[in-house]
Amino acid sequence: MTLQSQNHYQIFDLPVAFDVDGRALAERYRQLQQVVHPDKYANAGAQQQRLAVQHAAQINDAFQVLKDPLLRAKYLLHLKGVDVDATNGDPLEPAFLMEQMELRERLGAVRETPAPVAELAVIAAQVAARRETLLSNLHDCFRASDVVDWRPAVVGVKKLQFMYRLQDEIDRLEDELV
Amino acid sequence: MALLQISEPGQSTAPHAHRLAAGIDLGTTNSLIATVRSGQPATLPDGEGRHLLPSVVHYAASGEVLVGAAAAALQVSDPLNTVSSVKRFMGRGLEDVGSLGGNLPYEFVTVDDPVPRIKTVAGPVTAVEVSAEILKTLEQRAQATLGGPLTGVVITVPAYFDDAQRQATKDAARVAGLQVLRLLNEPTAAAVAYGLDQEAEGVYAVYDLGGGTFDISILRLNKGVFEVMATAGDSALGGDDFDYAIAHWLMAQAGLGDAVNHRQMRRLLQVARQAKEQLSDAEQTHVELTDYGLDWHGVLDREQLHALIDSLVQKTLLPCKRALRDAGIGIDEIREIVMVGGSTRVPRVRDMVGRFFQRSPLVNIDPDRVVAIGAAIQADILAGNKPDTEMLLLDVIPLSLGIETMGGLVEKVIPRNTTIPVAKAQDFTTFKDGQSAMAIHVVQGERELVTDVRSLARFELRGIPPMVAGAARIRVTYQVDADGLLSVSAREEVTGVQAGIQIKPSYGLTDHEITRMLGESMTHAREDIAARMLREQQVEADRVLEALRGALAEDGARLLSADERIAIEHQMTLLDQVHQGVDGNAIKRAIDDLEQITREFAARRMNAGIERALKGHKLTEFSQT
Repeated sequence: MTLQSQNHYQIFDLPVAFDVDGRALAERYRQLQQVVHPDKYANAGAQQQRLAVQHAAQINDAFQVLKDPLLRAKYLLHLKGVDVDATNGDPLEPAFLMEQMELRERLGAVRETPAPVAELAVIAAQVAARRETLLSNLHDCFRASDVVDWRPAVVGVKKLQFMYRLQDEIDRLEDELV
Repeated sequence: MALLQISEPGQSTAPHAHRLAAGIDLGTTNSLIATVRSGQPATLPDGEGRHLLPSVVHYAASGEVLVGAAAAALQVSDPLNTVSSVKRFMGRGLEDVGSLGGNLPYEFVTVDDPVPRIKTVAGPVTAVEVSAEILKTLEQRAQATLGGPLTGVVITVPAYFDDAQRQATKDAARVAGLQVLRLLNEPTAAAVAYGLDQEAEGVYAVYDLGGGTFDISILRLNKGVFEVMATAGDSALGGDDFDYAIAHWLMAQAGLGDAVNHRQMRRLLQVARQAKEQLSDAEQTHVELTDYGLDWHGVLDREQLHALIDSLVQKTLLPCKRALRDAGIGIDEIREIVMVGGSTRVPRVRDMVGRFFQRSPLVNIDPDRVVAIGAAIQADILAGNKPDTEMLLLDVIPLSLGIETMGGLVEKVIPRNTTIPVAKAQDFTTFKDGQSAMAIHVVQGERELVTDVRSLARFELRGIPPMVAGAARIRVTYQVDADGLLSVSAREEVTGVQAGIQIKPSYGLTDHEITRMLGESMTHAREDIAARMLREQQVEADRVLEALRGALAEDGARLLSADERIAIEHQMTLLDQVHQGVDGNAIKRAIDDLEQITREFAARRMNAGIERALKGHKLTEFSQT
């Protein structure tokens, strides 16, 4: 079977699941790059080099997706025939959205607080804790092997996306404050 | 009794001749060339035993070009025709040049051209051409020492160089007539040189402060694989800035105000640099400003030096913090911090970095040579001299690559710190009925507005068939190769029409200009450009044939039918027949035909390799249980 026709899990010979053995993934990633990386073909013809770039890029992409929980969850749903970005899905609970707005407002006002760096650290800790909870919920959504209804997982992914965006905002503020 | 030769899979049967390859550190202040001989990497000295080549080029009215110490000696007496620190202008436009600090010791021609040209008596020169002169001088040094032409070179660039700066570096190599095996990031090269591949495992940080650039890279080492987790930096911050800070202090002390001429500025920078270097050992140093109408003497002590440079050193710590965060690593997880670059000789830099990383930094290899040595090790491997090595470098792009969308916003296509090579596609659509063209603006940087990021290139996709707004599906594909260089293509997917793309590099030289420069440099080298092209084709033919012979010996029996093998061998014979001839086009055609016929074989070999790699893990896991 050629690499192009394989999904990200097949490339690393891993079972299709939300739980991924991180060590096995990293180990196999390195083994595969030892075979396909363009540096291994620096002496070959132009065609072989192009082939190496394509293969190495595909393996890099698959690795990137599988090692990140949000990208992995979205990819897993994609394999189940659900495109998260194109699905409206169930509405998110008002309580969750309220909390999001509060966190955003606090981030927006960080500069005006007496100790902005400390305040940012407090918010960051809160976001990290929420993220962990959401991840653990997502694990539960995916764990049952006989899942037919992916709607809870879609909701979980959408919530997690909010947390990633908050984290980006926190990182950006941190750069500006230091 | 005849002995049967049995080869391991993955090893070629016949040991091939050692290929001459070198690593080049093309630095802001100094450049070096290094190579591996008898298994030992070392930098190569010139005829007078000097390893460092000052990155200074002097142009005379006669057309004579001086590179290195001879050129540096003319810096103060002939500042306008002596170009130094040219690395700061690689891949940069005139407006950037202006922002690099007012007191530039030479002048730029202001013509209607995105690529700035420095005014000299020998005519205007670009940063690419100046760099090419430095590269040629280093190549000649290597040829003289090693006694033959180089197969290829690895040239190092700051990890934080953007696409335009990398492209400019590769262009300089082309103008110098060098075959580039790889552009390698300087901190990664340093990690290799530190022999961290030996038995070291874990996470390392490389802090690289050169003359004009700063990089921090966080790497994970595992069984010979160097995986860059994150990189950050500032491609316009280095020891030069320390010199400028001291020079400005001297100007204030000497009551000169800002009214100094080019010669005086060069002199001030020279004195400033000497004072800085002396303060690496001494607590204080006596400064004497003489000549060119300068007359002042006084004392500069460490305390004053720290007051001048602390904010600059502090500026390097923010990227350190960001790199750690992007890598998802805490300071306590770093095993060692490696110091690279001449500016890390300044004790204050070591102190402040040591305090930040909470450990004393490693300084046991000469910080000036470590990058060139790492590049030489990688060049030796890429040239094929160590076929069984496990060493593999997995690097990242330092800055996000994006595309301009409606309203002057940036949409990220490939985020920073993504491992290369990488390919990403993104779909866009038309916003007007019957729209037949789409402008694609490729940018690099982290900010959200197009005006705040660097413009890399503008493409125009034409010939989109008339459709209602939103019906077209235009797929834009970004591909970054192992050199960290980007190529972009665009295609309308609904009709399958691949429309033509026009590339306008924002700060780059066109192919036409590079060919012209190559032609000009060849006339000096008494070598005909056509002869050079022919030789390149012959080298490529040799490479293809040798690689294929190895591949057939290894996998021919397993992966090819008898007929397929005969067809390939027939085509090899044809290439072998033409490749020593004088018809470059015939050689090129024969190479293309051979690549065409071996395409399937190449793909099968790669897939077989992948299967073997995964089977390997199954066996180990099985034996462990």
